[in-house]
This record gives sequence, C-alpha cells and structure tokens, in this order.
Amino acid sequence: MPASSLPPSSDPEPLWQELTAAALVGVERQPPAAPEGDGPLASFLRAALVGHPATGPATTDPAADLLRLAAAVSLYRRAGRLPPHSAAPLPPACPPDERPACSLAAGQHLASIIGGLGPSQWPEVLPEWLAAAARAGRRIPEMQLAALLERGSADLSLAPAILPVIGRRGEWLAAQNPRWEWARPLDPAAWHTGRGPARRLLLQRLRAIDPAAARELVASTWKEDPAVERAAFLGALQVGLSMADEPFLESALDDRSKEVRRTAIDLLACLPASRLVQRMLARAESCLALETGRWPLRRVHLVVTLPAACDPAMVRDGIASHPQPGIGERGGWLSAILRAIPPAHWSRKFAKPAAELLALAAATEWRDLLHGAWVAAARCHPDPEWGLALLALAPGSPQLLDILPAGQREAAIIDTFKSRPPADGMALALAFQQPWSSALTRLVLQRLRAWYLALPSPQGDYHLRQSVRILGLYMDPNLLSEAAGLLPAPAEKGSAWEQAIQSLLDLLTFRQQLYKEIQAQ
Amino acid sequence: MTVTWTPEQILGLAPDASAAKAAKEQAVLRRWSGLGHSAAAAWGLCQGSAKEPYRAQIDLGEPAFRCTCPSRKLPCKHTLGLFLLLANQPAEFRATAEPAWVAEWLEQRKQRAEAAAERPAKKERKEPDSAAQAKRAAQRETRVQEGLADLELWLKDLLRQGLAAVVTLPPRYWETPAARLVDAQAPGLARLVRELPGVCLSGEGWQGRLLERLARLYLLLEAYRRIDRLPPPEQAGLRTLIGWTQNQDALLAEPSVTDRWLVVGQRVDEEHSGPVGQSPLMRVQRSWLWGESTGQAALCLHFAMPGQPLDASLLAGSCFEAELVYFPAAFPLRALVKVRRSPPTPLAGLPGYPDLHTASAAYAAALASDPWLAAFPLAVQNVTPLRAGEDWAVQDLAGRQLPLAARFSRGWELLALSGGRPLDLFGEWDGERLLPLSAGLPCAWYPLT
Repeated sequence: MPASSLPPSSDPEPLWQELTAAALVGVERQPPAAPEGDGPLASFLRAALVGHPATGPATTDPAADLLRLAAAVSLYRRAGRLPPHSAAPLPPACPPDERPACSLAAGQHLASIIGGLGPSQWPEVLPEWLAAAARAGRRIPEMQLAALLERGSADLSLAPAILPVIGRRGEWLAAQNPRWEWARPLDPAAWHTGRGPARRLLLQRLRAIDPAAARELVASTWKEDPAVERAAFLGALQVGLSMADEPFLESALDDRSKEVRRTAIDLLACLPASRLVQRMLARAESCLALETGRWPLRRVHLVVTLPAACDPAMVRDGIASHPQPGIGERGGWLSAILRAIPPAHWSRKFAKPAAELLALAAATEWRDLLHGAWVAAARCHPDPEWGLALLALAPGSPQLLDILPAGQREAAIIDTFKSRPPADGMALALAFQQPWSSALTRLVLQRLRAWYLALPSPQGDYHLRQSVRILGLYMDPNLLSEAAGLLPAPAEKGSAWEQAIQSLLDLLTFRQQLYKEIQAQ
Repeated sequence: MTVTWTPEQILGLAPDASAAKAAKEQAVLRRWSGLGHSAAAAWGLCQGSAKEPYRAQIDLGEPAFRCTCPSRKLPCKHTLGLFLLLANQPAEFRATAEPAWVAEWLEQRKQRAEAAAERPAKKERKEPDSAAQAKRAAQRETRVQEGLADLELWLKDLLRQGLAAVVTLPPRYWETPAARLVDAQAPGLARLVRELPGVCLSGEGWQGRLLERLARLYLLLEAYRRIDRLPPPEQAGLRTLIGWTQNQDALLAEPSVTDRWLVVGQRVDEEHSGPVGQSPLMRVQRSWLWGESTGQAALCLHFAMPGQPLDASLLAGSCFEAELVYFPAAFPLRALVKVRRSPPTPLAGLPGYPDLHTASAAYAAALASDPWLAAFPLAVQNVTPLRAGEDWAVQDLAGRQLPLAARFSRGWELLALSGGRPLDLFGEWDGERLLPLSAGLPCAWYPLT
C-alpha cells in the first residue's frame, strides 16, 4: 500500500488493521483496545466506547465494542477515500481515422451477423459484408471492433478480410490485447519474437505489400527455423512470386527437408524463366515429337519417348525415382518433367492449337499421363487457350476451374451452360464461390427450375435444397423478384423445400439490404 | 418514431431465451403483410400455422403489445418479430391511417389508463379497517424486534469466535439466521445476511470486507433501537432496509419532483427471491435516471418472475419530462414515475461531475446521510479508460485512477470507444470499484451492459 499522506492522527489505516486483526482472532482471546492518540477520530471512538449522548450508552460486551469501533472506522475510511493518483502516464491516444465509418444501419447489420441476431444465421455472410465494406472504403463502428477482432482470433482465415475495415482505431486497439496481435500494424521486428502462426500471418501481410522485404525476413532466420516452419514460410512466398525470388528458391532445392524441397520445386515450376524450368525444357526436348505418317493419309501423330535414365540432377529437381501407380517408373519421370513446362511452349513448338494437341495426345497410349501432366502445368501457368481446351475435355469438373485465369472463370461457366448439358454448367457454378453476375444467376435459376420439374419427388431432394442454399449465398441479390417468380412455390407448408425457399428469399433480402446500407451515407 | 430501439434492447423484452430465438425467426419480411405505422402504433399481419394470419400490433408510447395468436407469452414472438422488423427495416412500414382493429385497441388502452388514474381517488373512499391494521403492525413490530435481538446475539457470537473460523463453516451457518429473519418478517435484513458468504469468497482482503459488512449490520441494529429519535426520512429508510415495503399508491400521492429525466443507464440482474437453490431466479431491472436541472439521481426498480416480461417503459438512452416521486429515505434514491409529460427522445451525451475528486466528495456526503448505501450513481466526465494489468480502470484529467468492477465485461468496447481520449462515464460505485453502465461522447450515448 502506498504511504499515506495523512497526518497520523487522521489516518484510519493502522487502526483498521488492528481492528481486523482483533476480529479475526476473536474477542474472547483478544478484547479490543481503546484507541490512543488525540485526533478527532480517536477521541470520538473513545467516547463511543465509554458512553456518550451522541453515540449511546456504553455496551458491556467486548464484541459489541469491536463492532461499534469497526462501524465508525470503516465508514470514516470509506467516506474519506480518494482515488489515488496514478504514477504511470496514460498510454498514447489513437491517431484519428481517415476512412469514414459505415452508416448506423450497416453497423447494425454487422452486429447482427456477428452476434447471430436477426435473420442472418449464415456464417458466410460475414466475409461478404467485410468485402463490400472494404470496397466502399468504409471502416466499422468503434463499438463493433472488439467483437470482430475476437471473431478474427477464433478464425484466422477471416483475418485478411477484417484488416482493411478496422481502421486506425482497430489497429490501436489490437496493439493492446495479446489475443489480437494478428491485427497490429505491420512490424517486421515482430518476426524474431513471434510464434509460428503469428509469423506466418506477418509474412503473408508483408508479402502483399513488399515482396522483397518478406523474402529477406525468411532468409534472415532460415538456418535456425525448424523444417515445418521453413516449408510454410516458403509456401507463403507464392503471393507475389517473381524472378527476384528465384535465387533463394534455387538454393532451397538443396535443403535437408523433403517438404521444403517439394515446396521450392512447386514454386519454381511457376516461373517460366527459372533455371529449373530451363532444365526441364532441355530434358523434354527429346520426349515429345510430332511425326507425319506415310502416304496416302499423312496423318500426324504424337510420338512419346520416355526418358531413359534419372540422373542426380533430375532427382534434385524433384523427379522422383519411385514408380507411380498405373504409369510406371519412366512414365512418372516424364509426368514430372511435363508438369513444370508451360503448356504454351508446346503450342509454340509444334505450331498447333491446344485443342488439336490434346486430341493428338488422346490418340496415344499415354493419354492419361499427358492429360494429367498438362492439367498440372496449366495450374502453374494459367493460360486461357489451354485452360478452355482442358475444360472442354471434362466439362463438369469443378477442379478444372482454377486452372483458368481468375477473370475468365465466370465466362467459361456461362459458355458451358450454353454449349453443354445443364448438369455440367450447374456443377461448375455451384463450385464458383464468389458473387455471381446477373447473367450467370439467370442461367442457374432456369436450370434449377428445370431440375425441380424433372424430379419425381423434388420436395424431398437433398441436393436440390443444397443447391438452393448455395444459390442464396452467391447469386445477384438484385434479382430477388425474378428468383421468387422462377422457383416453384412449395406445395406443402412446413416441408423442407418450403424452408429452403424461405431461407433463400430471406437471405437474398438481407444481402440486398446489406449492399444498400454499405453504399449509403 | 423519435427514439430508436436497437435489436438488442428489443430482444431484452422477451420473457425467455426461446422466445427471443422465435422472435428472430419471425422477423423476416416474407411472413408479414399489411405492415403499417402511425405516430402512436405499428401493426402487421403475420402468416402463422393457422389459416388466418395473426394480427400483431404495438403501442409505441409504452410500448405495449397485442396479438391474436394463442400464445400466452407476452410479448409473443409475433409482436417481438414485428418490433424487430420495425427497428431493422422501417421503410417497409407504410405511414397510413390506423385500421379499425388497431384504433379500437388504442382507444381501449386510453380508456383503461384514464380509469386507472381515477381509481386511487375511489380507493381512498374505502375506509381501511384501522383496528386490524394496527394490530397487524404491532405484531410485526414485535416479531422484528425479536428477530433483531436474535441477529445481535448471532453477530456478537461470530465476533467472539473470530472471523478466521468462518472459512470452515458450512453454508447452513449463514442460511439459518437469514431464514430466522424471514420468519421475523425482516426480509431486507435476510437479504443482507445472505450476501455475507459471497464476501468471504471475494478474494484478497475478504477479512476487512467481511468485518465492514458485519459492522454495518450492527450499526443498523443500534440505529433501530433509537429509531424514534431519528427524523422521519431516516426512519423510513431504516424500515425499508429491514424489509417493510412502501405502499406505492400512498407514495404516488406525495409531492413529486418534475424535471427532464435522462435514463443514463440500466442493467438487469438475476437474483434469488429466497434461499439459494430453493427459490426461482427473479429478474431485477435497475434503471438509473438523472434529473437535468436538479442534478439528482433516481433509481427505478422493476421485477419479473421467470416467464414474465420486464417493464419496458424506461428505455436506456432516452430522456423525457416526467414527475417522479421518491421513496422516503435519508438519501433519496429509489423513485417511481408518477406521470410522464413528454414522449422520449434520444440521449446525446452524459451529465456528470467534472472529476473524480468532486464525485468522491458527493459520495461522502451521501454516505453521511445513509451509511448503508449499497450502490451510488456515479456520473463523471472526462475520464480515460485504460488497462491496469489484468483489470480495467479509468483516470480523470487530474490523474486520479478508479478501478472498474471485476464483473465488467465490456472493457474492450469501452477502450475502443475512447481511443485513448477522455469520455464521460456513468456507473454504480460501491465504495471500492465502479461498474460502468454507459458511456457518453459528444452527441452520443452508448450502453455498456
């Protein structure tokens, strides 16, 4: 306790300590002593003990005496207590925010999404709200910061969506709570003091702003970090990957850990000018060739020659020397080589369009190997022509969507709807988890209606209901009335189909309002 | 509608958690038709499981609710859902003339209110049986005297043994004197005794706190011995503490204080209405009012048993003109709203003492009038919240620091609101720690419960 600044005759603390000690022990063992001293408090207490007109007659009971003294002293203490001065200065205040806050109604929407209030029990709506607010250049109201930051701590995958909307106030607040260190202003010095997940998040954030600085951070502690972390950090370099990272990645090919080597190979394979890809090109030179057949047909066919041997340089480049199921050992080597080569190389070399090369490959005995290798290669090096050609071969496979460059995916889905059976288009659309354009929305709505009418017992179909749910999350909310019109009305009340339609329309209304409120002043 | 209810406040009106959940489900536009509002009311038709849609309506003044559904809960899920819709999507309600069924209900309510205003006048004409009343009062007085004598013996006994022995005592030790006090018709004292075991478990420094509580109880007993020599407000305060209830109708006839009252803070707690484990949890709503020109604070209490709705007439964050009647006490705090003079408007900021020194002086003055004051309404301006270790505190411009209650759970929200700068705060001060109930910024008021 701090030293009292009161004169001893007025300070009640020592007296209170004595009284408390006496009470603990019990008056049977230690009767209370009359207080000494000449301050007003002590005089009053003595009077209370012996009897005084103001305080009443003396009690004959030491317990009652103790209680009287305790009552007077405790009240005296309580009434005279002043909050103490604090020695430490206040922490620095937060700088003012430049971004405007979103409107009151939008803030209430956010509160209802986070708190599960209102009709928005769908957790997917939160990322959508955050993205819309970030696009509109708004920040969230101060009262919601704590709840949103807690959500982010519980689910770090939301962190990139949350960070743009918390504003300076949010960063200032996060700096004071260890649970929210992921939201603090970016501080590269924290690299050396943080733990695994925090360092990974720091790296991701820094890599988005300054790729070179991020790479240098990784290199600075490379030798001391454990293998699991090294692999994760290397994986984070995927964002903003460029040739400037190539020397570091090339050196990682000699790392002790297999996982690190694998990650380095996967990254280098995405850089067409890297030494690894050049080496693979050299190896593939002799593997694929076009030959023209004999007269009179002069049909062109693709000749595949498997690599003869696997030398240490090839092992270093990740061409495994174990046989793979269904392909065989040397087939595996060819597959590994082809995966690293941009497919556009083949179109250039053979001067043929992708679709034709795929058709030629389909005629050989190595059809599956080549197809698989080219899909993987297209994933590393997104190419519109090859992407569409591969998708055309297996139209309903959602996994092939991400080999297309991002901007082309929706167009490809719409094309699929127009040119292929509707089931293929639906499969792709349901896997496309981003806000849909109105064109795609209309196509999906029509397909859903047709699907419903074609089913023998549509009301109970689980897949149909799931599709309706996905529809609600991603379709254009402004087409709410069209959706209400196109989708068949439920026949029985309380059925699962009716609930699905109700939820859909509620969700669409909510999303419509969400966008309207965020745009509003 | 000038005062906006937030969805959280609306859901707070629900009688229980399942009703709140059902209300959320009902608050979707698809189910409603014929939505409309006027200055006094809002209404709509809800499609439920019956063939005819239910008619739900809200009188916006009080607010009061009515619905044609068969549920016995009030407010039912349809009216709460309607209210939520009104708060979230007011644009969907057309401003039209009230339909017949709404106008009829509002008229009935008005007539009933007028009749209730006349009833106290009629009641007075009925002569109470004064002889029987006096006899009952005398009986109660005797019982209370006996109960107090018992309590005094128990207290002295405890001090003789010593407080150190308290940690080994079973709960029965505290429950027996409390039960005896209930039998002696002194339920207020029984409640005070029931709080003592909690003090023993309150952590470091519990010994001093327990001694203080016991000493205050003893002071109450000594004061009651001399009650005839005390002035009437002190007498009334003592009687209330012991457990005599105030006749609210008689109270309403007393002179009232007219002012513009700001509802600065509100909290709802659950308390046991009797022995722990044997009695149901009662909800207690404490609404703190602050008079704009008088600078006086007032506390309005409302109670609700499980399943019953709480009174919704005092919305935290609103202000209105009214006449309040205080319960007689040495330091007047508890009050009743006698007559409301204006509709509520939103609160823009908080009043308060300029610094903690002035606030402490006010507390000391209050203690001098009423040593048994449990919760002092503390409104202070220009304090900055900060984190002190694991706990929260606020510091005024002079550098004095006040710790906040351990049970305060919105510390991060408070810190976010302040951004490291001073703001205004209102809360309940118990002499050791402050429990914040609301914060005020220029032109804004935020609840913290």
